[in-house]
Amino acid sequence: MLALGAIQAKAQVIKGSISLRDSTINRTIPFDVPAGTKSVKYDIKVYADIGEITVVLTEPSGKRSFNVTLGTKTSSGGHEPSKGEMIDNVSVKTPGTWNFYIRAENVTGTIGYEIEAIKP
Amino acid sequence: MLAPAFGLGQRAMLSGRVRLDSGWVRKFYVCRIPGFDYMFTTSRALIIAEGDIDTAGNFSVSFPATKDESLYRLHFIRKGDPASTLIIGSRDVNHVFFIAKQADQIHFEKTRGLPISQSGISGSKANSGLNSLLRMAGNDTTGNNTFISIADSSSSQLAGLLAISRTDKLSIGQKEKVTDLLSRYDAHNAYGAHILQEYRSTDYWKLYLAGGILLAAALLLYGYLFYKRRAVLKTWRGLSQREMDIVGLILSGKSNKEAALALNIELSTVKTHVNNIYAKLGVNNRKDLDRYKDLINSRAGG
Repeated sequence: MLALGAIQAKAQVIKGSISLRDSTINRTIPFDVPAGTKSVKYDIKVYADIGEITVVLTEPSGKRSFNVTLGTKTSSGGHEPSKGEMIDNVSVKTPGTWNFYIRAENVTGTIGYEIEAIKP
Repeated sequence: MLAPAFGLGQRAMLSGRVRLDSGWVRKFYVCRIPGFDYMFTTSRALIIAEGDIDTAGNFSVSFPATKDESLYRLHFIRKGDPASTLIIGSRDVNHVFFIAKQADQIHFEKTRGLPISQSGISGSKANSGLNSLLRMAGNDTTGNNTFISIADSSSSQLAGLLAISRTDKLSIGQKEKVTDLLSRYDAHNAYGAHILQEYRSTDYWKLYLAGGILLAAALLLYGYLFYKRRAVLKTWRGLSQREMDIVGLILSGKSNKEAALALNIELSTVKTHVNNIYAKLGVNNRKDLDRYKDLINSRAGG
């Protein structure tokens, strides 16, 4: 079961939330950074009760701003929740398409994201 | 605070002093990072040691360590967060990395009011290198040459490998430098396995390319000789039986007169045949006929 929250895609902001219940997804969310953008500000919060989630934010050059994986397995074979918070404001060298990539496998959890292009 | 190295056996020691505000839990966690790809992976299964921070902010723990250097992550959590929580960003982080091996004593210090910072880790030359490397890696302007230079000067193989893993789109000269650096490294280092494999693959690729070029050159040469021989054979087959006989006699060293006697024909007839032979074979004199010598010998043999 997969529930998508309100996704806003205004001029230079993407914002949304994804609620997962034993779901598997593999999704890329593109984000266009226009010329003249000073920085990209992102606020990503990921929580997994069960399963494994990987979230990656890549710049147009392919450089990764972050690449975080949350797993819930314990060494005894059980599950314990994991949480990841990625909050930063990174300078933009070249305009282009940034990609927010999400891969979740049999996950029960939530993903909240807000990515904004900041102009001077 | 520091425990003596004696008695640590197959363990290392981590101690620290942190000033956390009331939003943080008085606990710490140590994860062993199995590979560079796992530096930002969090899961309960990665946590190998944990403990409480006392009211003065002190903590210590001994944790299993290997004979060779390994990469570890020390992290703290805020109230309400699960034990395996990772916070990343320039404003707030909840973790630092460190390198340790058996009997090492690592220390972490965080002052109240300041964020958790990689520079708070101390305890070995490897960690000084790691701190510099991670500070550089966070800077957008750090390029391949800087990472290669760090790897070159690093006293820690693990820090060196981590620096190399941060390089991207290397020039030919940079690749050669990295290959040279890796030749000094232990091929069994688990952290560098894929890097060493990648650069060894590059070497294999070069070998395969050189081998391919040699094979192609050999095939071209063989093809050239084969078609040249076929062309000679085709020309040869344009001669009449009598002309072939005369060429055979000429190549065996007979004069025109001797050839006429051997074939029981007039000398003028031999001369006419010789002129025709020269025209058909595209030669100007008897010496040029030498190229047909092998052909005649092989046909005579066959």
